[in-house]
Amino acid sequence: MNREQVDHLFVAYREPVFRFLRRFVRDGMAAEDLTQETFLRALGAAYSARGQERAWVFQIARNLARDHLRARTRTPAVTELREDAGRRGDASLGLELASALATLSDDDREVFLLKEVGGLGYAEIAAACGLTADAVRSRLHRARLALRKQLT
Amino acid sequence: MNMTYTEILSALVDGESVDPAAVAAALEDAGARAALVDFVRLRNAARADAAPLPASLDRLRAAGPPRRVLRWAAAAAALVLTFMAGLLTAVSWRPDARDPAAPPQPARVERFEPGVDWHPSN
Repeated sequence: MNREQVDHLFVAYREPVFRFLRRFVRDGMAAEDLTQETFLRALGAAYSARGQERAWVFQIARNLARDHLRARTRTPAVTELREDAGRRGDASLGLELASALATLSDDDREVFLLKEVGGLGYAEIAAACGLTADAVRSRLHRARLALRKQLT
Repeated sequence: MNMTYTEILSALVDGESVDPAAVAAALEDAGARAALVDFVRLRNAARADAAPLPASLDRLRAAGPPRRVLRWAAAAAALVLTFMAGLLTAVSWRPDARDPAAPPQPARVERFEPGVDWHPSN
């Protein structure tokens, strides 16, 4: 992809990618860097997923996020999301959701956030994570039940 | 494919294709209906992120090392500088090499002039 094409992708997807990354890695500054890195990785990359550019961008983002989480040794910074939840007025559920998300496995949290924050469909999540659509549905269901259990 | 009531409603919430008869059966179940409401609540909470995008994402930066790499590099450079400064200080304060049995060098020398500072008493 050339710079112009990637700039177009950046404008279209930077926001959902950033919000997904921020929730997934639980570190705002790292999410900013990873968002930039996601699109820079797309520069010069061979793009073959025609019609699935959003899934392709999120695939890069989740791979970078996974690498980041593997490399990170310090305790995840949950407090930042708690503060954000308080600012936007739905503190009761927002605060607890941030904590509940932290208890999910990376696999389940990733699929849940790709759906709810990234806005991807099952086929896109499957393409981004290397899963089948059935596995995506199953993981989403499992994640929702786990979150529901934590929050009630 | 055998799906539980909550799994059917989870897929319904996601806008995926589901069997209408299965949805109808799921909605007959009070527990599944409560789960459906909670799924919607979860979605609203997950999407309620009104914080503005950070200014660093106004535009795509030029290719280069990410900021966190630069921060680590700066921290590493500061450590090296501190180490070098400590090393140089240690070198400049190192005492002269000499025989350990030799007496120490005087730090102060007092001189007394005979007839001025002291007088022989015979």
